[in-house]
Amino acid sequence: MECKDITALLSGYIDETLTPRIKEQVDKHIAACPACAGELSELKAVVNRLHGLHRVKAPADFLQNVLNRVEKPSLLERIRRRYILPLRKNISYEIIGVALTLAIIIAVPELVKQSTRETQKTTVPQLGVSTTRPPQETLKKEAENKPVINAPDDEGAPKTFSEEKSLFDNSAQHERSDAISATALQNRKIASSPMLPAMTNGIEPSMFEEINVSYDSGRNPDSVSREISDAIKKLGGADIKSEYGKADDEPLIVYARLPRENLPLLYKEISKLGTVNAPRQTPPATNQKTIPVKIYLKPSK
Amino acid sequence: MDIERKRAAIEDLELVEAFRKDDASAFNILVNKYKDVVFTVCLRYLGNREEADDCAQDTFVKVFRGLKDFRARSSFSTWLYSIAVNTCKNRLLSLSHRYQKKMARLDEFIETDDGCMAFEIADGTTPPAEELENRQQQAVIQNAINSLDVQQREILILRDIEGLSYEEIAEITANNPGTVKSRISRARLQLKERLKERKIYGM
Repeated sequence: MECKDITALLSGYIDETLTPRIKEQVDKHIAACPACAGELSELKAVVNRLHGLHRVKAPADFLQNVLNRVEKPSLLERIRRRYILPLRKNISYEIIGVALTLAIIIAVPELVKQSTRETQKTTVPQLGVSTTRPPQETLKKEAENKPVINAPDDEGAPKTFSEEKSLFDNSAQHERSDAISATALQNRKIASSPMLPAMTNGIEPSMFEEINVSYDSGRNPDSVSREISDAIKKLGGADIKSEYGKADDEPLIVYARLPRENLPLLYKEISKLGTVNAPRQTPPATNQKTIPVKIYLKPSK
Repeated sequence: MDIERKRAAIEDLELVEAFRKDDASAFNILVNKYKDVVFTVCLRYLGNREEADDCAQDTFVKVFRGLKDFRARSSFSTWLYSIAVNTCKNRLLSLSHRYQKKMARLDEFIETDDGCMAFEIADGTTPPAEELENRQQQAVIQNAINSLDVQQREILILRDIEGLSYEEIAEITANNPGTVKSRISRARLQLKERLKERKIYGM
């Protein structure tokens, strides 16, 4: 046997898959050939090194992460939950899928037209620190007929969609930013879209001032929502509606419109009923006289 | 298959059955049982913890979705391994450009002292000098593995890191044992050369 033949057999030799006859030939050659004997021991060393690699432990929260992924609803399901369910109509997935496809087909030529028409620069409004605010302002500007293009302006005060997205630090916001980027260029269409729930009065849902409240789980949710309604009325709010989430862990949601300057007061009032995230100290900077609010009520664990 | 493996396989099938009868905790048990295995495979395959975590999680999500239809034509672990390697392979194929950049980073790791430590897991304690040396070696090996092509990397992971039999590997990779044998040989020889190029192969 030649040395080059031996090389190809070394692996089988190590794994003991060679036939006895071949193995014998290899043994004979190696006994007489230091070079090949060296090759064999080097190869053994490599294999042993591989055997010696640690079993690496998965991260501590691995199971939880898997379960979260497993339960995360698909995009179609999320759209269904947000837009269709509040209509309280039984619309099948197929219809939603078709409607979406049609909307896209109709929208694309529109987008092409728009992008060639709009060449003026816009300044994108500075986004506030609060994670609940940003999308509303860009979309509002659009409603006032200024084209909104998220391109960096010359002063370098840029907010591309990916930067906006990084401002959102909870998963609910993350989902919404997808909807925003998907619909932002179609702003003019939003107000008249038939897909939006009557409940929200034609407002793109993520334009709301979103307030998350955690109330004592011993309390009756209806009475909590009644107290919130009262507070809203006291502060000059109107159009108050509430809606129950579908699953057990989905929050109760209260919608309303509130005069802009009373928003911080609303936060104060709500804080008396439960824990509020990121309460606002000052009213939002906007031309609108009233703000649509969306209050998520969840029992604390 | 030795006794331990046989027992594990029987337990797996019982868990699959339980899951089919809507016992959700059976899935959790399977995840906890195999999460380190899957994570290791993904980490050795991709050479990057974040990608490995992502692919490992994806693997179990696919397991969850497919478990009711799992027909036990192979053992559960074989099925699990094939999902894991396919997930990793697809990830590599779609991210090959980004991956090239990551490979350069690992090379840099090797040069610096603390880079190597960062690569393997810290269990919080400072390891003794011997352990540090060991980890450095491991990083070198991983780097060499990363320099192999996908097929060779995969086969070495399955054979010499996971210790699977030729038959199992044949099932997982959908090849015949003869192909498996020759691939293992070529992969090992190639790895030996790569390590020699780096002048360290842990003698």
